[in-house]
Amino acid sequence: MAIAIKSIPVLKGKVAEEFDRKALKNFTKKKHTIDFTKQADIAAKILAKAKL
Amino acid sequence: MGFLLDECTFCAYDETMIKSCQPFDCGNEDLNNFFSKDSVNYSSQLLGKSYCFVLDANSSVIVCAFTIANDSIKSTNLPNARKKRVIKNIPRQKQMRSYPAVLIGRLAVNLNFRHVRKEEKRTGDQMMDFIKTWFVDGQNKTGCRYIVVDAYNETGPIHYYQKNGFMELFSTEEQEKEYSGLSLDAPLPTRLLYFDLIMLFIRNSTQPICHYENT
Repeated sequence: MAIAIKSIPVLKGKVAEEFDRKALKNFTKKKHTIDFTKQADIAAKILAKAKL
Repeated sequence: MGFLLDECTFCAYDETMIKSCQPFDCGNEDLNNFFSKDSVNYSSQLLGKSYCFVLDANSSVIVCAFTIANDSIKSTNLPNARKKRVIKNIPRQKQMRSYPAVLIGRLAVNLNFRHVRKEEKRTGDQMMDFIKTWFVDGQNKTGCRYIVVDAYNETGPIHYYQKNGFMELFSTEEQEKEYSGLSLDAPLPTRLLYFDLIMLFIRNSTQPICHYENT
């Protein structure tokens, strides 16, 4: 039996605050800052060819 | 355009695939066990779904594989002042407390295909680009803010995820042990890392995956 997949614990207190702070910072300052157009074109072609 | 696109096909990884393919060897016994035995159980219980890329030249060769599940990052105990600010900037209150996420339970690359000659990116990096893009796809049925991974607490895997933009969910191992209910003396076999998909944008494209460009 492989190691069980860990579930994500509920964040509390300072850990929760820090996570929310980063989430807000990314939303306000880093939103859409990484151009993933090339990767998306490749992914679309992978999915078109996929056998799912 | 890339090894996974040009020379592989993306498939569901199920019992039929396991039976028809050569044993998958990524060099890690736990991962090999998971993909040969446990992944089917996870899938049958709807706890995780596995996918793989097989080689076009020989479809019995699994090049790489991953298992994913719906999850979320939940946070509580926000001070009131901060809570109001978050609500103001994020339209739905629910997203403030429970950020939708996809959890990568397992991810592995066949030992023979970690780095393919003349490829600009390693196979694992190509696979991660694909996973990220899959969850910002306009056709995705649900919102997904984060990719979370439960990575082996070893230098190689942690470096791989950090190189791909992932950050540690807990700043220290002690903190993660506390949250995982582990004794401080106990080893921490895996670490939770996350990637914020909100940073990605895709310019208008003729392909089905559509854009999220800031307007």
